[in-house]
Amino acid sequence: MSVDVRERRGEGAEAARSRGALIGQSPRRLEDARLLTGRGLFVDDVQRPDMLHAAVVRSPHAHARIQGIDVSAALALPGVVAVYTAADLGHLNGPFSVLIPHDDLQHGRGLSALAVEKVRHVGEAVALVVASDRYIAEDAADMVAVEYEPLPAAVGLEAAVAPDAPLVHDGVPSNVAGHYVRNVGDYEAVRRQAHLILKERFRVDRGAASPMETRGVVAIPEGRGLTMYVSTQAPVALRAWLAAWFDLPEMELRLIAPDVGGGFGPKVMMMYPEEVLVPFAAMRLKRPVKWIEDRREHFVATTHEREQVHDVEVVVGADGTLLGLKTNFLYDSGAYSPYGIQIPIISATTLPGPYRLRNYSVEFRAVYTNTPTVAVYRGAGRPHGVFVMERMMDRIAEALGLAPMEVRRRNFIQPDQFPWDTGLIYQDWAPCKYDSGDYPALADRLERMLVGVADEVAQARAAGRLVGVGMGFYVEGAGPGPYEGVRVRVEPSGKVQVATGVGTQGQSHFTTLAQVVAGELGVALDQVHVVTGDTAAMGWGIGTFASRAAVLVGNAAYLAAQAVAEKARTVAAALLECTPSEVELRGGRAWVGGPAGAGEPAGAGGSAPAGARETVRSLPLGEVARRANPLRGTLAFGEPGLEATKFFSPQQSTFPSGAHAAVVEVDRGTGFAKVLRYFVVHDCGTMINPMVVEGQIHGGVAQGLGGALLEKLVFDEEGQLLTTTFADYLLPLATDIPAIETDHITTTSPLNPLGIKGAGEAGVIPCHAVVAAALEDALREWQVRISEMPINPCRIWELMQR
Amino acid sequence: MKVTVAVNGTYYTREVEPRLLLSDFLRHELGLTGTHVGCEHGVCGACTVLVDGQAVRSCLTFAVQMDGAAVTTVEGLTPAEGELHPLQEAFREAHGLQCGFCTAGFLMTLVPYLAEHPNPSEAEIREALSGNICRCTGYQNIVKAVQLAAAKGGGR
Amino acid sequence: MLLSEMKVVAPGSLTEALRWLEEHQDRARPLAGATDAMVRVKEGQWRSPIWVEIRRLPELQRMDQADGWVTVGAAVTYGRLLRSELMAQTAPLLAAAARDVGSVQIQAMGTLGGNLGTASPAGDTIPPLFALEAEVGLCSRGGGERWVPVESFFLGPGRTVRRPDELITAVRFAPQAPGERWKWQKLGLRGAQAISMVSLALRLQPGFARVAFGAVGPTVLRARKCEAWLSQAEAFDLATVRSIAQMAWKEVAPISDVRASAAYRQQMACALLERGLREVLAV
Repeated sequence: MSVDVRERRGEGAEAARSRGALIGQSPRRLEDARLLTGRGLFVDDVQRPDMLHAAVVRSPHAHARIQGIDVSAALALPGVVAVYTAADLGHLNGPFSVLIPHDDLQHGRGLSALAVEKVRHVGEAVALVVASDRYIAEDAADMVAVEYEPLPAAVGLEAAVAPDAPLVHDGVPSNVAGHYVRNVGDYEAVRRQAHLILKERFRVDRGAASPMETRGVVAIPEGRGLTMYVSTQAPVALRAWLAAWFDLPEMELRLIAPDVGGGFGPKVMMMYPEEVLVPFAAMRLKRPVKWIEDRREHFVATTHEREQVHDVEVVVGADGTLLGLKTNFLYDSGAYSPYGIQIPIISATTLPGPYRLRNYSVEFRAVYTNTPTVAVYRGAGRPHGVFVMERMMDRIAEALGLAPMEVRRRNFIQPDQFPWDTGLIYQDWAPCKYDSGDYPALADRLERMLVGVADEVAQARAAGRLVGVGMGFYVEGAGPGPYEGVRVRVEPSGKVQVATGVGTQGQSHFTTLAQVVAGELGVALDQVHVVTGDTAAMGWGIGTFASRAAVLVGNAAYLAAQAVAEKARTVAAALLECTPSEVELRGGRAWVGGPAGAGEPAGAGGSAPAGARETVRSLPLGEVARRANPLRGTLAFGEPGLEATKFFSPQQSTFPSGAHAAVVEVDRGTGFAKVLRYFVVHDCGTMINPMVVEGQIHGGVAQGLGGALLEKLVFDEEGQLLTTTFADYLLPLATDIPAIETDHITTTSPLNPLGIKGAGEAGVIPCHAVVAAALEDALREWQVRISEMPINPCRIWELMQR
Repeated sequence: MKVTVAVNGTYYTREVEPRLLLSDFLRHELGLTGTHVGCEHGVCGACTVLVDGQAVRSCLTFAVQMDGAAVTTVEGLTPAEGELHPLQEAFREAHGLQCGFCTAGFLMTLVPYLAEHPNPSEAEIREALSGNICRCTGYQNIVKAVQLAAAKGGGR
Repeated sequence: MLLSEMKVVAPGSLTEALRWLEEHQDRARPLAGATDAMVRVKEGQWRSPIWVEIRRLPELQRMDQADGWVTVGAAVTYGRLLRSELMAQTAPLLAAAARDVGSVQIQAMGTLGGNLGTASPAGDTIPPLFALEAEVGLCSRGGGERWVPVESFFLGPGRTVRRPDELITAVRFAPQAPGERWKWQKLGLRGAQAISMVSLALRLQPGFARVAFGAVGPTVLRARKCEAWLSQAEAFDLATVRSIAQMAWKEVAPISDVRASAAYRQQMACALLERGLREVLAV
């Protein structure tokens, strides 16, 4: 792996490089020893002797009226403690307000804890059973008798907006939750001068993020309040919602996101019904209550993503210049709209990509269907926009007889055109204005990686094999605000505590945040202890999603560490009788005198340098912290100790970019597609830890390839989900994913001190487009059109029969 | 029903309900929460433990079926407090884990595999890993970790 | 039937196990590796009040060859099958299929008898048993032992001729000939851990052919027309192989489901047969 640092407006990143010697390195992770030895704490690991266990009664119908619920048999089962229905919750049942409202979401509909009158998707929660163990709770859930009057279901995007479609919600005409229209430039005008107009319909189907840990909630009554453990991506925000919902003082509701076994988006969405039901039961029963989702339940009770249908038209100049693009699309919201229209807005604003698109017309309708609720999944609408744009780039190339790369190069925003304003407003309600990038350089790097691949492919094809290459570019908005905060505190022991409100689901915060802080304070990495996702440790925060943790928390950590370092220098200067600017922090000590590095003991240990010049003096950082917190006398330094809390609040998103390519082979006899090689060139600005960034890319690509070739949620006409196990919903295995070859360029962001742009979602974003292009290339003798994803062997084989 | 199982070298005798899964027995009866449950239908492999030296899915076995068996969990892998098994060390070195939820299952699958196949090829490693699902890593660094462990002596 | 009312009994001998089955009939169900049973229990099916644990019964562990029969006990795991020297010599076709079952963790627990008892048309060891013309041994307290040809054993998906008081005790078959050409192939939607969309067990000797397909009908089935043409063919060129393989189209009776369409499965049966034949015949 190589790192090419291209500074563009990157003075912040310069500072990061000179000071934070640990930024850009790949130390081994601090969290690993714990996780590798089975000493993590995941939500189901939380145990209490008097704990009760909950199971949820769920709707077997996609759409039905609830005629009655008889809980008597369930209540009579020995071990059952309580059975709750909507009536028991009263006003606490909801509906909850829509998490992210929007002017163009004309008919937002929030979830409720338990269904009232009607169920609107298979798996909707109808009642909660609490029992002495989980087996009894599950048995009792089967014994709750719910009488349903089945209703016709609205299933499938086009069907749901048809004139005679059943209505998911009363008062929502044509099932349209939201309608959004935006125009940049004048598409119709440019269309009149067109050299070439191309049209196509594209479809992306449903998938499930499928973190290996399902959701779970534990609520433990403690004192006057409650401690909750939730496998959530947004602990502080969830605490605020729940405290308000239950009318509890926030200080009496401690919410902990412990180790979370993967998130990928669905664990952001608050509030899930169980996040209200479990604390409700715990407070009612005055006993700890645990609910752990099982995998089948997860398939219908946790949010899905990805379904959209686009009708696209592009206007092209004779030289391949993209003059205008128009898309009109449908977005499946599922049965409710807690996440509003964030996902289709992200699709709409990601679609322009790295290209100079000056005339853009976009319209979408968000549609209710009788299927589980849709919310974000890694990429969150970005893959759809990229799929549409990159497919059209390939179409333009084909129509004009140009190489796919050449068409893209002719349309790239150039490095001297930043900041580039797309003219759109992004999901964070701030301008969708690209901060930095070098798309031609991405193309150069990708072409360099592909040297030799054309020959390999030609040889394989000459031998009769169906091998093809495809590529895709993207720009993604990442790291949206509003803010994150970090508190850094140096203990008298010399250890440094770093607290952030966001949780972690594998993103390596324990290591990357420690790198940022350790570099500023001049302490060894293992002296820094990071606490994440505990409202008692840090009560401010939003969450870990949208590739935002490194951008927001990373920079907040940097600012807080800087403030602590400054304070340390001030205190140490007083103790060492010098000026603060003469104090240097390194090796866990504050030093004064001599040129930088003079008298530094070998290994930068904690003891005074042997044979040091008299002028070189130092104090352990812990001692400085202790002296800044005197027990008597007066405090000379404003506030006690070495501690600072800082926030980072960007005014717009950052815009990482990348280019992917794949070599794919199709089996002539069976239609099976195998990804032989996969290439990624990536620009996420400054990388705190390249090893971690690469890991994120690998995982994202695997999810993207799964989403392209294996993973599909299938519903029947009645809205029954047919794929509710890992035997039917096929996640990629080690045998399905090739080794991913990566390269990086670095154009730092001018929008934050460290120059970071975010990397969490990058891997997944162009995969649909790349695989589709490679398949078309592999199947060129059939001249197939791949405009629908995912695609399975059966479908590929059908295309080959034409 | 009464069941006696040797777990990580210690005999435990417990009176358990026949319906209790081995995974729940380990996690909830014995408090060995390092073994995780990801699907409860035998596909994801997160719950893999060793039974008489063989990797099995503890979510697909009743605890009472294990009467008299020797079970090893991830907690039994570490040679001593504060130390790591060579395979664990390799996972850390190669960044073979992110969220860490599936990791114990991978480790327990690999221990007997590497004992039987000390020098596997990449394709063989991928096949050996195909009974376990990881949603974070894309498997690449897990493969690398296995190669590293194999190079250092089969991970034993 | 509730989970909380379920009972597991662990008889120490075959006789004792058979007594449980005889006394409780439909209320009792044998439990071997539990790899299928547990999934069904979790789904709310197969909630037998009594599970009779037979996985470790010594009488069900045999793997031996005598009097022209190779006999494999019902509780022999896939893992033992695929590692067995005897299987490598007498039924490499069956060993190859065992290697494709589930995952290594499933292979350690799942049993040959369990695969038969579950009676899924997609069960991976069953096409080889059809191609081997195996017999299934059933035992009961009242009726003693009987041997049923594997083709008569299955009635449909999940249904067999086993009576509730009977236990599958073993499978027996004549060994594959030393020079015989054979092929096991499986097509699932994923590289590993996949439920078969189509599977094929093929055996070929001069004047002799056995072709069994899995997952393309209510039970595993033999492609008898293909077999007849294959055993009569004088020489195999590519055209002959292709035309015989294409006959499989009419011999299979698949359904359309989440995984694939019926037409695709039909064509894949042909494709697997063609591929298998070309490989074993080197054409």
